[in-house]
Amino acid sequence: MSKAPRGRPIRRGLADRAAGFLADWSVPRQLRGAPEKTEAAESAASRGLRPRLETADRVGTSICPYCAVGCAQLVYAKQGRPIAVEGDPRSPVNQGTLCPKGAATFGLMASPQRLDRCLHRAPGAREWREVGLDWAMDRIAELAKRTRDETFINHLPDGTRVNHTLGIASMGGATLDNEENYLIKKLFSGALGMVFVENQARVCHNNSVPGLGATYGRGASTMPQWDLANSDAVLVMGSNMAENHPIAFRFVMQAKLRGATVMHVDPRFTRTSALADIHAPIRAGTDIAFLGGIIRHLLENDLWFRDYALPYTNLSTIVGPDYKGPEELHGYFSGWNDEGRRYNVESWQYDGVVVPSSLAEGYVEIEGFAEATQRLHEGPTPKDPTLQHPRCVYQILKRHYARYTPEMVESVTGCPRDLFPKVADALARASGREKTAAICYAVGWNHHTKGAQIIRAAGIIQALLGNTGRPGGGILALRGHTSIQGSTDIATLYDLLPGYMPQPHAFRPHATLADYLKAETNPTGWWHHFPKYYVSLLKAWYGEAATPENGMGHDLMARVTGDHSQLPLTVAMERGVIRGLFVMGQNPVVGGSNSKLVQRGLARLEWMVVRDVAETDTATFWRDGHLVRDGEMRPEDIGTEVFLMPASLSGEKAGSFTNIHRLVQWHDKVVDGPGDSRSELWFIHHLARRMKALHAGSTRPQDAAIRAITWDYPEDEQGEPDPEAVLREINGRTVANGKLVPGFAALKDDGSTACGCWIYSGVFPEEGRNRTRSRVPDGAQGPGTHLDWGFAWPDNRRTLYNRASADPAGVPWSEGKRLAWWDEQAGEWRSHDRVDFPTDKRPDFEPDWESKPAGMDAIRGDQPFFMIPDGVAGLFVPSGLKDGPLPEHYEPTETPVRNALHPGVEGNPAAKRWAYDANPLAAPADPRWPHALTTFRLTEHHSGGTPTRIVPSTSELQPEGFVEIPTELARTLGIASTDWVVLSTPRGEIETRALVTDRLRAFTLDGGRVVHQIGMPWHYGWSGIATGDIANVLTAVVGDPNTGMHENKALVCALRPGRLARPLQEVG
Amino acid sequence: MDTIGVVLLVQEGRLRLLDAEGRGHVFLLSPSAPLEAQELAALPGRRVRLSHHAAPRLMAGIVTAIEVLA
Repeated sequence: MSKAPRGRPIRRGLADRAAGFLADWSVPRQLRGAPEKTEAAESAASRGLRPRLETADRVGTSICPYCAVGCAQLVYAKQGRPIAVEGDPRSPVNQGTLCPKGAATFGLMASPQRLDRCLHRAPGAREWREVGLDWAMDRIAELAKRTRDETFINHLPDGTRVNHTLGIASMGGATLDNEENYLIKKLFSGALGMVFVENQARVCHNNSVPGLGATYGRGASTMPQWDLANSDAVLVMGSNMAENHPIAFRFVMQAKLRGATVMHVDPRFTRTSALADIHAPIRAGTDIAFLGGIIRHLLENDLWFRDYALPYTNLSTIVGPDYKGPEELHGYFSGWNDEGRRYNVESWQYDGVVVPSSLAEGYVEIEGFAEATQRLHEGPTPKDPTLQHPRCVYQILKRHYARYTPEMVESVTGCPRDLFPKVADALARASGREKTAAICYAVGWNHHTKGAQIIRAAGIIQALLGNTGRPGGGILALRGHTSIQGSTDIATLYDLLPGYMPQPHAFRPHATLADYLKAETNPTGWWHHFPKYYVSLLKAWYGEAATPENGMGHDLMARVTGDHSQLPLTVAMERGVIRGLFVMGQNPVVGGSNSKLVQRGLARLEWMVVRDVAETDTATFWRDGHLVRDGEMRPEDIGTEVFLMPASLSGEKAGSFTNIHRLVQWHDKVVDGPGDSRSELWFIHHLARRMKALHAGSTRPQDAAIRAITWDYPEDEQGEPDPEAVLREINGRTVANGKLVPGFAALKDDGSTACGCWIYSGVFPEEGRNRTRSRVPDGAQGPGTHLDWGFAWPDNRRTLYNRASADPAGVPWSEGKRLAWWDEQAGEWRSHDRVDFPTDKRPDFEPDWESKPAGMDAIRGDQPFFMIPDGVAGLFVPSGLKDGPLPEHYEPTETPVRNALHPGVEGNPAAKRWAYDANPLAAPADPRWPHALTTFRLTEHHSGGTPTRIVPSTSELQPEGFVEIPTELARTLGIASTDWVVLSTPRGEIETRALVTDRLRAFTLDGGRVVHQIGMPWHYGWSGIATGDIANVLTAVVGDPNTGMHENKALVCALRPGRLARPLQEVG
Repeated sequence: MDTIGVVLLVQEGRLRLLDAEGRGHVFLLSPSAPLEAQELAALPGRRVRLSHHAAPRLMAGIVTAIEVLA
């Protein structure tokens, strides 16, 4: 109740209201003949109503800044301020709809918590002070130069060239535009020599790249989201799609309305489960056991699509005699080196042939590797089409998965043994000539120490069932940040250059340009074009300074020396190796594993630049963080100089995002961001200009790359560089005349072309034609590939590998699933899509092995997976993966039970572990941590939380952190909903509120052991309106061996009612 | 019951109020209130006191009177 003084009441007198009623009464007007639907129906209220957007003086197209579905928006503005953000009804992705986060975009733009000034925290200070933008930029450039000067090395003591600094790191990119990512990578890696360059893609979906890439050739979703509506079955696993990608889930529901079977496999019963036909519960982290059970079921019951899988996969390929699987070696594949904790992949190769990987890291550490791969020029890989050879992939698969019986699946996953075959049967029924099934997954498959192999297992299933490359079929990697696909393609990742090329490595044969090209160029398949793409990138970066004398600029490139991904970056901060850090649109204190370790690392930095739209938990660790909360440090003890700079959102800057299905869409600048907000493009551009000015007169070798890097982007009157100029550089030009190239086919390896990212080439094929701005959807009559809406890499292809939608002779498998076909009369492939195959290559084309063909000349006309050197999908992967050629069930690194398949080898043996005092790990089945813990996301919040925890509407919907506890366990521990509880792991403890629910359950596992599954959303922190303790305080720094991705979806914990003890607070 | 806060949003006879604790509330204008829906249009951004009561099966409060405080 309020005690505020009385104010001015708004009221009308009775007579006035009566007069108003009579004036509004429609009956007399109708009697006088006024039409009842127009004039007669008017009232004083309706006459005053105007369309909400009528006052807008400007509207621009935008793309939602939250997840990667890529919903198009319209931003309405009046007098330079946004007044509304709505879904764009033209978009084939969202058709005008937006989810709760997208609908809150206006609330984000107008949030009262938006930053509008630069803040500076001096070392040891207890509070911020406002500083000017120019002062901050000058100071940052000065610090970056000083740190670089003190830490840069050209060569290792043995003379190996490295050209790098380990002293400065960068995080962030998945929320940024492609053009911004491009400039970040170009400046940080190409000019400054930073190798710790990472973004959220590392900790979000990085396992998708080797998981899908090693199987099919490209590490990206194979199908467009809207094509889910054409599926006959959809399996959602490792994802709560209805809540976290609700707009994409509309297409699943459309499929269901047409009769498709929808299945959800997940530890929790969520809204996705509620809308599915089948919900199969599994313990978090046991996905491979479940999927392996499906593979066994398909093979044992002969349910696979033979006509597709036999020619289009390596099922018939014969593996060398030295290969042995974990069924023979008690949990290990052949080649295991116990001392080095890694595999030698030599025994995984095909019989007599070494096959390079189709992944960025094509090189494989096998003696005489480059020479050994030359056998691919001489003939097809060895095959037995009868599938009888004991070492053909089919027989190896059967032996490998024979152990994955329904009983084993039940004892490992906890899923009832009669339930999972229903999923397998439903998938099989919906596959074949007439039907196709799709699989959708998200971070639930990524955040594991075997995440790449979980995704591989799905790839195997889809290839066996003949679903990949076909309408309504394939695999959709549901990504969580608006351009996380783009920040992987134009990678702000330490190991990748734009277009999935490897960053040169000091300890691989990459010393000279010739060495590098020899090691990384595949003899056969599309990647044989590799030199064209790499040399064109060097020309884009170093321009005239890229000469034959310096390997076209290769000698200037920074070399990595090991794993510089986010987890080792965290450890390197904590150990004082990294001294300066840029954080752009990322919140690692909330999103990084072992948050207290992250915070200790931040406290050891000399300086940190945070660029975001509001105060983040990362930016304020020195004031509000766990170290201060727990009494370990005082702000005065923390010497990190911190800059917090206001950043712009989409709608406040122009650029392009790349969505889940590789669709690149432009967003306009409609309004200025508040105050000193600037885009990352502006920040990087002006930092680069300052760094070039500071080094202009230098003759030191370590500064050569800074001087050489090309940086001539035109600016507008506010100093904002032209993002289309950056996109044109990404597209590529002919050097001599500056003319834009029409696509990657025009790129050359002689330095005559310059191209920033070859897979995007064609996005800007001629002046004035930015294809990401295309906004023409297909009409109701189809065909529904929407080729004029945005631009999809590569070459605007919407369904990857769509050659596989036709049979080996080029005839569609069925009329109902027609997508690409060979037109004999025209002598070319036709499609409603862009054909993902050489358009003039006949289906019956056979390589002329006498001529030792190279590149695409060695790919047959019936081999759709031409990014892979032998043209077929890799069910068994000889190269490119570090933890086995086949997916095998391993327990999470921290597990409540032993591995039922091979006790003694519990977790993935090749997993990356950084076990030390700041990152202790629980031993398998340690009774002190009895419960299985998983983390998850909410519809209303976004990843690290900043963009929704500062928005009043989303904060109101999910205002506070909590943990979901199964009813049975809560009853045992005496916990009721809203009670405080404490969760603990070896890394730390947090307190939060309990939500007791039947959505989670207990699993009865091997030996009758009952394990309770607990789940906790991980968005929360102390900043913003909606707050809560940080789930990642609990998680460990352990990683997938292929990517270094963390394992936050499956760990163990203890749970007790109550609150944490806190140190006494000073009163003053 | 009275609630004081700042009107965030008005749509026809509906309005949304942010109270001093940062909590949002949704209200509907009662048909018996001594004012009309079109008079709400001037309120966004204004600090007001709302007199309201609960209604069965409605999350929104029913506003019976409004005073502008500032």
